Amino acid sequence: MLDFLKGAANLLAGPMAGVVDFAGNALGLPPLITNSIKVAAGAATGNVMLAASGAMGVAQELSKNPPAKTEYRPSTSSQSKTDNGYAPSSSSPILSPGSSPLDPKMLDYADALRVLEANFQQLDLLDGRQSGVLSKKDLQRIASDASVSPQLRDAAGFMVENTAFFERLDRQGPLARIGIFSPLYNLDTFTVKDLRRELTAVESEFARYGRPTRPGSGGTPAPPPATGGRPGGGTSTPPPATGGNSGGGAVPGADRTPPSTSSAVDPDLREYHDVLRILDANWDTFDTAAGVKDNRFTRDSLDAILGSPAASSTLKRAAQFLKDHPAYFDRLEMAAGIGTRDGIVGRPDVTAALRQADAERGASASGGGRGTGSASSNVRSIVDNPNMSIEDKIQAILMSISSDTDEEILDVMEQMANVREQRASLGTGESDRKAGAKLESSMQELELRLQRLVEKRKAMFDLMSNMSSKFHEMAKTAISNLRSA
Amino acid sequence: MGRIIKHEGAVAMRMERGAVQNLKAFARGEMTWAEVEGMTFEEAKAIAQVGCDLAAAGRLEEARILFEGLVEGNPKDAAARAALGTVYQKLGKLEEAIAEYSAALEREPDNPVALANRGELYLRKGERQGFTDLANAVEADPHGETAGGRRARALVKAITLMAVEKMKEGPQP
Repeated sequence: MLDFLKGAANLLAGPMAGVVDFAGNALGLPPLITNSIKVAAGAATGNVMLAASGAMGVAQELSKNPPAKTEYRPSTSSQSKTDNGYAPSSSSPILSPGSSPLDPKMLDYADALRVLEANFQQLDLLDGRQSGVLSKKDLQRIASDASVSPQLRDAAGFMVENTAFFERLDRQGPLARIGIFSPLYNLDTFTVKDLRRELTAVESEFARYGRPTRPGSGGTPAPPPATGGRPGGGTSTPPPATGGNSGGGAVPGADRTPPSTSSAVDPDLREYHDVLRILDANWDTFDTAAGVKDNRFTRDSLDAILGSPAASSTLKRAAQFLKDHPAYFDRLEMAAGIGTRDGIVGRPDVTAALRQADAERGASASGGGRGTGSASSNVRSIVDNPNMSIEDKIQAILMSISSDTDEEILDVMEQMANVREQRASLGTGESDRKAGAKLESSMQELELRLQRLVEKRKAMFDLMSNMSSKFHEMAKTAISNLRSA
Repeated sequence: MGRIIKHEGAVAMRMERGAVQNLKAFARGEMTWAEVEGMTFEEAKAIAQVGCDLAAAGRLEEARILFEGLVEGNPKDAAARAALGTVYQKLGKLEEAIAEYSAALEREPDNPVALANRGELYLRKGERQGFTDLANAVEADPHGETAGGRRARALVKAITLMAVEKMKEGPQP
């Protein structure tokens, strides 16, 4: 079997017999064989046994590895992998280099969270009562509510259609991440705190993994079709129900995306704020528009204003806005949190709505700060005042905040008085009993709110008192130091 | 309904156009038939494994058909050509075997299977090129990962020992 090796050895040994050192060169052999020959020659000189044992080992090796064993051994080099004559396993890599591994839908999720957070109060009031939470059912209703702006509809629709994202938002809480407690948080509801917490979590994920890009957009999200500015643009906005949906965002679909805008606040909010100011300044006109002065107005009053030739264009514009935006009308009538959605707006509602709108606009303008517009301007004037020391400025700002709290307390007390009056006017019938129960729950909410406000006021005064004494101590220490120096 | 049919027709046309383009590329020698058919490397590897098992079981004709098919589908596959060479070698078709080994080495000069087996065949024929092939096979597979590489190593040792014996016998007269 191995006879050919003898011939091979003759081939090898013939030229080598002369000069062993030049064997490799003479034969044109690679160094491996040349060295093997040298080592073997050295070992075999005078040592027949060693040579014999070596021969035995080689024979065993050869019998273990028979000739022409069929095996398929593909090359491991990268070039052969790219140009190996076979179809690629997958058409494209899962993740192109430099791109974020996060799901591109996270961008839409973040947008939806922002929109929901900025307009939470309005969305909460859409069902006629302020509960402080939004449920999946609420979102479903909002997504199909033609009276809501396309931006809000799209945000709600996104959360409804993307269950995984909704569950992510839903399961928020201190123990939500612990497996056994997780089901406790699966209530299909969320609060504004949940939204804020989730927004922070999403932003931290963007910071960690990089911001994904929307597929097909080349990294730049497409601008929303009709939500970039104030819808309507002129003095009146087209009614959503009759004028169609120019925003184009009401079509439900799994890929619906809430538009990315620089501000997540509903663009109609600015106009709503203007309308509230008009209402506040012209309350009596609105109140008596229907013919009776009863310290409230209804949708009929709006029609009366619109139909009155004596009403100014400003009043008509305000009335038209409330008529065209039922969601804002509902929000206004529920602003004070009294009663149910009965289409009646009272003076406390206007005051409360104005304060809420101020707060929302202030928060959006200052990037999350809270406080009324006048309060923020007050604070700015205090901060900018060059004649005040830092201690005076802090004290003045705290005073300004506490005065806001005082106003809020007065409002709540006024609302409580209204509820009490309404309760006193109730009879003994079935409907009156039901209304009484509702008023009772409203009263309890108001009492709780009042309690919180009073506690807040007390905390504020404690803080002011502590700071005042600290400043005093610091001043005394500084003076005594100066004296001893 | 009409729109749906038109849509389906358009898709079918696109697919057809893609196939035609592939066929044209194949005709120009820019694509292998395996690429036209969409055969992936993983699929080829699985087929080759079946061929190896058949050859090990002595079913050489079936193994030959499989490897010939693989080589026909993708002539660039040096490993398949080397495997086909081993089947030819066992079938006694030594010239065809050397041709396949040489073709494999053209594409992949350090294929240890092709080097070892061609080296052995050359040595059987008394050609000195066999030493070089064996040595290259040992270098290409230093850890003996392939049967060909291990065979080449054993052959090199055997030849070396015999050469030493020859040297000890003294210079040839």
